[in-house]
Amino acid sequence: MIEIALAAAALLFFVGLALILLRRSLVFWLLGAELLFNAALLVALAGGARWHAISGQVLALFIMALSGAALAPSLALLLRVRRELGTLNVDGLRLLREREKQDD
Amino acid sequence: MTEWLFLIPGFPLLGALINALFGERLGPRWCGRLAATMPLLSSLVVLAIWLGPGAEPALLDRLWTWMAVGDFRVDLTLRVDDVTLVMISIASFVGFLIHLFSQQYLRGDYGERRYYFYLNLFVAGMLILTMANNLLLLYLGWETVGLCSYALISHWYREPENAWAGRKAFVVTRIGDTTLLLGIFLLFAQYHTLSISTLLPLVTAQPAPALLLAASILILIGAYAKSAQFPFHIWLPDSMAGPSTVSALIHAATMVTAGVYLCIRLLGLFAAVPGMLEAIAVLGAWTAFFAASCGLAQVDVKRVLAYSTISQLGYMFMGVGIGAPSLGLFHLLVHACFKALLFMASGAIILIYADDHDIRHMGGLKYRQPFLRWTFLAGVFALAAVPLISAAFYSKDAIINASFLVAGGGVPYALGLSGAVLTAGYAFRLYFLVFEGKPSELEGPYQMGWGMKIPLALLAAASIGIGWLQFPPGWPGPHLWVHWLAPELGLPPRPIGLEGGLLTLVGALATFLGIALGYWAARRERAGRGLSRWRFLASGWWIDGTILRLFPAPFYALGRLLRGGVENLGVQGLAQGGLRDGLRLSAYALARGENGLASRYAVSMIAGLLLLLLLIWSWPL
Amino acid sequence: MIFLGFFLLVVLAALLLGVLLLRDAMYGVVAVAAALGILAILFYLLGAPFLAAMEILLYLGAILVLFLFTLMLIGPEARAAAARQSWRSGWPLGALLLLAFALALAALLWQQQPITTAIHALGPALLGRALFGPNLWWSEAVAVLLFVVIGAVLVLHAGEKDHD
Repeated sequence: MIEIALAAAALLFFVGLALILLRRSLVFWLLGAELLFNAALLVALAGGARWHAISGQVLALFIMALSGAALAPSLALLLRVRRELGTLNVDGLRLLREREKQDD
Repeated sequence: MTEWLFLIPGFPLLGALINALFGERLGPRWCGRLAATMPLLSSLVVLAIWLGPGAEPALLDRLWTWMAVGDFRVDLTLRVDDVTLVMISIASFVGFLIHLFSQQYLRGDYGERRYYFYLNLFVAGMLILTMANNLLLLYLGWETVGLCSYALISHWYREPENAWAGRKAFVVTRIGDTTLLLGIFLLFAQYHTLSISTLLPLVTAQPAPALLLAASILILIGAYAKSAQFPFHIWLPDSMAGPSTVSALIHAATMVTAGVYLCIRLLGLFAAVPGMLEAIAVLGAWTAFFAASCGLAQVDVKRVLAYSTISQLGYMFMGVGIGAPSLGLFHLLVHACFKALLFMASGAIILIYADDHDIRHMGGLKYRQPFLRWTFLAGVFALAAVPLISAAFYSKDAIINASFLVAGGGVPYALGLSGAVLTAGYAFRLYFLVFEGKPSELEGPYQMGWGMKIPLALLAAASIGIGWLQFPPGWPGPHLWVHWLAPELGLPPRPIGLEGGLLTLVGALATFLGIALGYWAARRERAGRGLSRWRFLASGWWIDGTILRLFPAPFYALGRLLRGGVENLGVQGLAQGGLRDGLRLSAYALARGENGLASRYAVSMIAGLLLLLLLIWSWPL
Repeated sequence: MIFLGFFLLVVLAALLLGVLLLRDAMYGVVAVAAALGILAILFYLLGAPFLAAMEILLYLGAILVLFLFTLMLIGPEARAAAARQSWRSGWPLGALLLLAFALALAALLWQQQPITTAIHALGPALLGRALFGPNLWWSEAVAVLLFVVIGAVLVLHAGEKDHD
């Protein structure tokens, strides 16, 4: 069972990674981040089960809270990006200064 | 008194400092006046020592600890004993006269401030050298003197030959500096002290023959290079490229006497090596003879004097070698007086002839410049050791006569005596060519000021009279010198009675023979058939050319090899080029990476994370 | 039970492949929601009933719903525009990832000794005692963090009125 959990964690991790690396949409990026968080969660729980320790679940709970805490501002930022730049494409997020008159 | 010793080198050092920092504001005239004041103040302090406590026992002034690492400890200690007292008197007072003479001599020249800066530093370096109680401090002064000589010889650096001459002097003396330093290292490795006063008793107490031989040879090479002894003399004739006052300073008051001084100072070391002193005596006599023969064929007024310096230094080394260091020191003093005089006078002569150095173009100067003629004649008398009325008669002839008495002194005596003939020859050849005969139409009007006349007059008086400190044994008159130095340097062998009279007579005859030779040589020279046409003598027995052809060539080859192999390929190509290209590449990569693409950042973040994971995973726990 | 585990794994893989390939973000979110449901079951099987419940409540109930809200706020045109340029041409990167996944799986399957630990359920009571016993300060820190996040979201939205 624990091996299955670890395999599932690996699956989640690599799919999350692939989402971040291969897709352009900001929404999918955030989904990928969630999947990465879940992979970490699963590993923590598997570890707790392996050694019959409650600290695995404590860690998992904290990870859950952190992922929620990370996600809420990220979604707020996403909305903000949509308003300010009119796109959800990650490659569009490369302005480090004010946009000039003619786009370069 | 001892707590004021630091003032002696301190004043010229201060002068150099002020000159370097504020010389621009002072202007060249005041730079010169300031620079001339400093050695005067030093010589006043020296005078205070003479008048006050004297230097018996030796005055010691420990200023502070220079450095201390383990058992290596160097104190900045100044030490003045009788020998040092003579040296610092020469360096400060003759140095002052040269400074004074320079005031008019160099007026309006370019680089006056630079000149006075180095002049002061030169005197300060020489004073540090002579007053140093340990070898490292001595080496500091030694190097300062070398640096200043380089800078002053190439003072008129706008002509490439002058810069070349300075470089040559620097390189040749540098060889000696290096060997001297190696010798000091050897001594320290064996005896763990650099203080001269503790080192010498140790050397006699625990002799280590092989090491002492090596160390003394190395130190002797250092002294030879500094004092321009055969075969390291080649820098000295070329050093005439500098102003005449610089030549006077180098040859009389400071630099070249340093080697002789070092030998006197470390006499205990050389005495501990069997055969060393005899070798010094023979080499000194040989140098004296060789350089005198070269001086006979020179046509440049200053080169004649340059070879005479080499020759006279040879006599000093001979004095040290035959066990008469006090006579060597005496001759050093006498030589300082008349050589400074001759060089400054020759500087005036050159000015009169509008920078023409060639004595064949001169003549009859006695009619226009009587003062210059009489002072120059006093110097020539001293150089030629004219009996009774010149100082060198009492110093140089004493050395030659003493060499007759010591065992194995035959060769030095013969060489020294024939050298004395030649010396009188070139000295009077120079005098006859410049001052006698028909007045040359080339001479211009020149009026010497008091600043030039006073030093010349003082030095002329010293050249005549300073020998009367020490009459030959058995003669009526004072016998101050040798006995005064006896506690430190011992009594030299001195011929007495009939033998002494005969030897003195032979020496006087040699001088008169030399004067006749000089007259003959001057006449032939005027007729255009002089000794200067004999290339063998004029080029200094071809030694200079041979050495220049022999030794620098491998170094140039090595330099080319290093430039091609190491510099171009290694440093420029690999190191510098590699660095440059690596930086450019990494800058390019960084610039490409910092493109604002969040996915790229994600990739590098993840790659870094994986790397960290791998590191942690492979970490041996 | 092991078969149930395999079954869940296969379903999870199918759903995640869907997330990877689907163009529309709305479908993606729904697929992730389903995957998270599967994960909740997996948590339960791993002996963490409280965490399984929290997965449903927090992820499905809160986070995924937040996603849906966001997508609705963005509007269908923007979603369609994002869907049109969905992937970058990163097949070497994808291949590398696939290789790494295969390696990780192989390492997992071909290990020396299979893990044969029996799994006991560790209930909420135990978790509560752990959270408010030795980990009290961590819990408090997380609580403060969550509070700060509320402030951060408010700040992020504060400037929007100017633009509307």
